Amino acid sequence: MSEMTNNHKLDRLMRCIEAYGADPARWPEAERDGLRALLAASPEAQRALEATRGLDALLDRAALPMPSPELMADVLAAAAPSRVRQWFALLWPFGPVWQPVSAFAVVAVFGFFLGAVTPLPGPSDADLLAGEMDGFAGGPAQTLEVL
Amino acid sequence: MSSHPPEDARSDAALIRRVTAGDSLACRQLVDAHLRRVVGLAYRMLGDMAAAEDVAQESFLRLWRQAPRWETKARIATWLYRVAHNQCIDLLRRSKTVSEEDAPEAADTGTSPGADPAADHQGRQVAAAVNGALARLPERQRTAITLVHHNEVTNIAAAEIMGISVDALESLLARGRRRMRELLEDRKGDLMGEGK
Repeated sequence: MSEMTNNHKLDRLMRCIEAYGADPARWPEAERDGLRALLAASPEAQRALEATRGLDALLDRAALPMPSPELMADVLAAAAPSRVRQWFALLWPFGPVWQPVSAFAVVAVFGFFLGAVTPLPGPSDADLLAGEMDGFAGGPAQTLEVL
Repeated sequence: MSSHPPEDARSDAALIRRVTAGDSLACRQLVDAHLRRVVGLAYRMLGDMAAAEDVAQESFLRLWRQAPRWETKARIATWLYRVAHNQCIDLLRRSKTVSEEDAPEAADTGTSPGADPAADHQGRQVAAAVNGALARLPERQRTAITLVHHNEVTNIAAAEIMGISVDALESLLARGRRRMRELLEDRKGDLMGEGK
């Protein structure tokens, strides 16, 4: 059983060398330490590792191309935020500005809605009574003239 | 192996917050760390430097637009490579720009000339031979090797970028490397001596 497990682990190490090459830094992180320990104990795996070093070195020679200076300049120019965005960032440095703006908009819409559906306050009972009394006595102006 | 920029998702999020606030130094830092690798991935996939630069530019434009809504768990490199990869796949579907038999046009790899012109010449020949062999790989094998070997992406991130399982990624890598050895077998004497 133990031998089977060891063979299984050695198979896995050989597959990793075949896929990721000789540099353990490219091996799967979760398995790296175990595979390294196994490598130290396996001459067969060490031979496989040595055999793949040449291809790794050749791949290193095929360096990635350099981007043109124009591309670099264009990408950086596109990153510059507008004055409006900078102004918002100063006002709200805690994250995306749409959050406070949305909250303000929701409150404004709700307030507008509430204002639209709420009936205007009519004259109170006291006002009505005062009006009736004014009519009965000829109104405040007439009262003043009498005085 | 040169190390990938030592960033975790939190430092990526902090960098993106600085970008959103208009910090030009943060923009420069981000572009310096990732532009060449994004261009390189697109170039390897498309075999055309102008198209690769267009893909890279569009990827960064999308990043700038995404910045205010950046998710703190996301990684900048993985996000950029996935966006670039998807654009390349779309372009390849629309028109087959790379023939598997043709090497891509030579691109400037930024290596400065050394003191020994003969060695420089031989070095360029080796690079051209290896790039030619890479160009003859099927696109998915070439992409897998570029992501894992040249862009130093982890296996999990590379699989995520390509939209495949880790097992499938390992299979692509192993077949790609095997094919590279076959393609370079004819020039093994020169290349292995030079490459080591």
